Amino acid sequence: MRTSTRHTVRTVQALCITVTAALVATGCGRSADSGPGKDAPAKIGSGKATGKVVMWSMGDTDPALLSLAKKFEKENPGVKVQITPIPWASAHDKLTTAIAGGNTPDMSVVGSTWMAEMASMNAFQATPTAFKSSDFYAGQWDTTKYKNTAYGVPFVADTSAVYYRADLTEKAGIKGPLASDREGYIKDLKAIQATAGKQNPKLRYASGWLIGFNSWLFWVPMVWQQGGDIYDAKTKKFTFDTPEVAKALQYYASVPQQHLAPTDKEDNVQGFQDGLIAVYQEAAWAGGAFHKDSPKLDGKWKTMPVPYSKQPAGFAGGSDLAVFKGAKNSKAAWKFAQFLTEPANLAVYSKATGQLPPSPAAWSEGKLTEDETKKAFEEQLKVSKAPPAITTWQQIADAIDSELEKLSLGKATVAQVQQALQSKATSIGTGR
Amino acid sequence: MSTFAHPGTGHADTDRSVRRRRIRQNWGNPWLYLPLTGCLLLMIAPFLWMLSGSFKPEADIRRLPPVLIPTAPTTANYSQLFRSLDFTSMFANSVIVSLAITAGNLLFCSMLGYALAKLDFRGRRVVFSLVIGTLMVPALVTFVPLYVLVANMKLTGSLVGLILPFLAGPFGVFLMRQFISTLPDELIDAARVDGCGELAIFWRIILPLTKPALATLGIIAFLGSWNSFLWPLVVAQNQDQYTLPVGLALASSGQSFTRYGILLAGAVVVLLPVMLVFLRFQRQFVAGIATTGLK
Amino acid sequence: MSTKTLPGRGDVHEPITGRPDGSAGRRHSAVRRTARAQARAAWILGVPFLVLFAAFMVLPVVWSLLMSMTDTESADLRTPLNVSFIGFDNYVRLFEDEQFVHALRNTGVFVLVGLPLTLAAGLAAAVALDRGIRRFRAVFRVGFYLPVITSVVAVAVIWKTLLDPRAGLVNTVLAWFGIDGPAWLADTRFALPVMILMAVWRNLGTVMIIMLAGLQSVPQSLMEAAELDGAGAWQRFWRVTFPLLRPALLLTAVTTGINYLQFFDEPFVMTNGGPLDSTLSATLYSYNQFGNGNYDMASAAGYVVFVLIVALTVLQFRVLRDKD
Repeated sequence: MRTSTRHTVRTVQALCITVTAALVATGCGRSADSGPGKDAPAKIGSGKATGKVVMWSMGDTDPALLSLAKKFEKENPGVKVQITPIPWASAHDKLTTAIAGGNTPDMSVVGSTWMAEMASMNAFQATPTAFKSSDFYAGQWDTTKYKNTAYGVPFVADTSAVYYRADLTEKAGIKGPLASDREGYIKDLKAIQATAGKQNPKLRYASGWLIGFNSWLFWVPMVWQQGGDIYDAKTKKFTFDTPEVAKALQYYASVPQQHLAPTDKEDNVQGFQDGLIAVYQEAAWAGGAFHKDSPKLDGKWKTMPVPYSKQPAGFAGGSDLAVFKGAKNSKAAWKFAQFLTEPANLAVYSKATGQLPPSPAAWSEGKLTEDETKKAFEEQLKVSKAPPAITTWQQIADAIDSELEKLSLGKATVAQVQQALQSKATSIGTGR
Repeated sequence: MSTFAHPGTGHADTDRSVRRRRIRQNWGNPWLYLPLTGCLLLMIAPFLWMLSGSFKPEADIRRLPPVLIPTAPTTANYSQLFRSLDFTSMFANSVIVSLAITAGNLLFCSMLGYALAKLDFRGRRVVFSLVIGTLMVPALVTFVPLYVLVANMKLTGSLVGLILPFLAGPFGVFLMRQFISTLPDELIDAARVDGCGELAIFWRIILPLTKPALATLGIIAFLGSWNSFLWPLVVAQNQDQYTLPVGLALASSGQSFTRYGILLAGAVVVLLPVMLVFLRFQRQFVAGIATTGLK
Repeated sequence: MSTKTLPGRGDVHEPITGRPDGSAGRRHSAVRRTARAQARAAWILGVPFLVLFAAFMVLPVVWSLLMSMTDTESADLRTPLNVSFIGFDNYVRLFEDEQFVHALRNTGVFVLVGLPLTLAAGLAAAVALDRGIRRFRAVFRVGFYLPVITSVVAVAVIWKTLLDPRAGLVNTVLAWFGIDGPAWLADTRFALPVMILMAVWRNLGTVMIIMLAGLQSVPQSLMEAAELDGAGAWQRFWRVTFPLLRPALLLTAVTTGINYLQFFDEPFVMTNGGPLDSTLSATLYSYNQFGNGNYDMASAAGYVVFVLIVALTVLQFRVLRDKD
């Protein structure tokens, strides 16, 4: 028995060595890539859509999307749209795994910050020329880009604005929105903070402040508002060591350090509803949540554009529609994408879901600004920008989150953070 | 349990000491009950929270200060849960997948476990080492290669892809092998002398004796597959193939927010079947572990 | 103590021939036939498992091991041979990555503190249920086991609410004693201890069940003899019960140890590795690398954990194995 076991072990060893040697010998190695970034636009063709289109959507079954799909089916008899919802929290993993395994559907809703990464995995078809970038907000269109080629169509826009509890800010003597310049804004926050425990008995902090996970969404626009940037696409270098970034870091740290905002990562949305904070910058979905969970507060809270120092800026997020390279029915898929992004349909979808449409035409067609609280978002969309279209963006974002946290907790200085970010980002690189 | 032998105390038993003895006999140490109940409450407090939260309206769930008994109890979370999911189909999927994986493990692992424990064959040691070795590889590492493999076999998009890769779990082999080793060899030898075929020995003699271990393995396999989330998420190509945990995540997670009410209601619903399975089989479960390599 | 019940080392292969029995001659030929029949039966019994196992377990393990020695990125999975073989470079890079070393440290602390705590708590619970009380055992058993069978996502939501810095239950109770509770999950000092506590809470049920089983196999006669000899309860436990629990202890130590070295669920759902990577585990690091598409680093990190698991298991076998 012993000898046969030794024999078996030796055979296994030999096998391993052979396999390894073969791999090395075949000179397996990378060949010059000729793929993503160099794709020609897809063809959308003419005529009606036919066949089956499989689309992955994010979040729970979306009645608005389903009804739009039915409308599409009516206009294109012979086509059948199947929509499979995927939980948001795991959507990134499911998409990347499917792409890696060559197992994708026809099209999918894709989070805007994932577009570059997945496009670089050679997953998407380039956008047909029938889609015009001028139909969409510039920042939103940029989210579809990878190496200057568009790989999808904007579907849902997202950006943040400042929510404020008018009933609480009035008690601090502020009539209407807070100041739109940074110094005035801080002054107003201080005034609100002074009413904590007194005129506003339940109030604890003037403002909520995003620290930790995803705080980069909050902070990167602050750099843009200074007129600077964290990445220069032309030189392909990171620019964390610029004075504009320093100013943005100082501003970011100043609010929690002056005790105008908490640093313990509380639930700010809940706190806003409970009256524990008076001001909070958040995306459009929060308004929907306030309306649903605390209808008594309707009318008591309002929105305003984000205050800035040199120029207004915002973050362009949201989701885009992308058609996969492995799509079985790409013609119908692109047609469905075209259908969904018609201004009228975007307006319908937005009204039903409370999300923001990515095209100015949809805003006016749907008369969305009749809802006062949406006006600030429209302002922001006009000046919002997309983050750098590099495949390593999520890793860079994670590094920013971590350094920002250190800064706000007083564990690092502005200069240290700048240095750390510049070196971390340079070592992470820009990927493919 | 037999009564304790009491060393003579030298004086007559009074009524009180008789009563004390009887309390000790029936209840054990009465002083333990209070701290144990305290610990029990600590252990299950989060569940009470989960249960109570599932009956609260969404806005109340994370409101502070927290209240245990809902002030405005509602079944809205449950009705929303059942409405937003194709609940019966997801429940059925979960049941089918879990039962299939459990049955497969029970059968295949006991087969190989018996071979490793009682049969003599070349490569026995290699096979056993291989099984134990893979038991120690972190599951995360093989996830993506396994997915690519399954995708290439065109098994995604069907329940088969959810079931097949997990029908052969190394832990089950380990457990069954340990258990079967404790069965007496004489039983098998006698059967052999009687002319019983090897496979018949396994089927008719050994298998019925492994009931406690099978109960243990069954609970573990069922539990593992019931709560499994990542694999069904990635392998399903369509909503019809979602299992309960995936459906639950779908119903409760938004892009930037979570619907806690639905999450908690779903958690209660997902917990119930497993709890029932455990309640039903717990005695065999404990007995099964007892006779597995604990000698 | 039979050595046949523990795997691998010391596994004595019992010869089939040479049994003390009469009629050796007749048995001899019967035995030879039996040997062949046994081998055949073994392979028939083993084939279903082995085929599935080879395809779905061994193959992915081999592939991932190879991946850890190449520069595979996620885009390369469809053309697996188009990657460069770089030997142990990934492993070197791993240990040069401050974040990974931090993750390893966290994992180490987690195991070194959490494992003994869990074993002690489970043992205490088992002893209390087995020896201490007689009634309502089933209630306590199910109650203590409940955390094991609940989905970790729901558990996370509840724990997060309980730990809320302002008015979660924990800090409210602490306030009764005049203690100003910290922001547990946002504090780099407390986040990892909280994870450990959560893990103990979640896993002591499993340990308890196995210990209960072990305790039941302690013969009553031994206990009575010890009591007759005048041994107190504590002495009885240490001298009689505990040594007999060694196999149960080994089983729980090994399974819980393997589980804890891979700890992932708690930090993933509670803190996502934060604050400031203080709850980042090696497996969570690996998961993040998978998410970033760095399949090479992710696999390498996974295999570092594998080596740790093997080392811990061997150590536990050395220490807890029966020496007779």
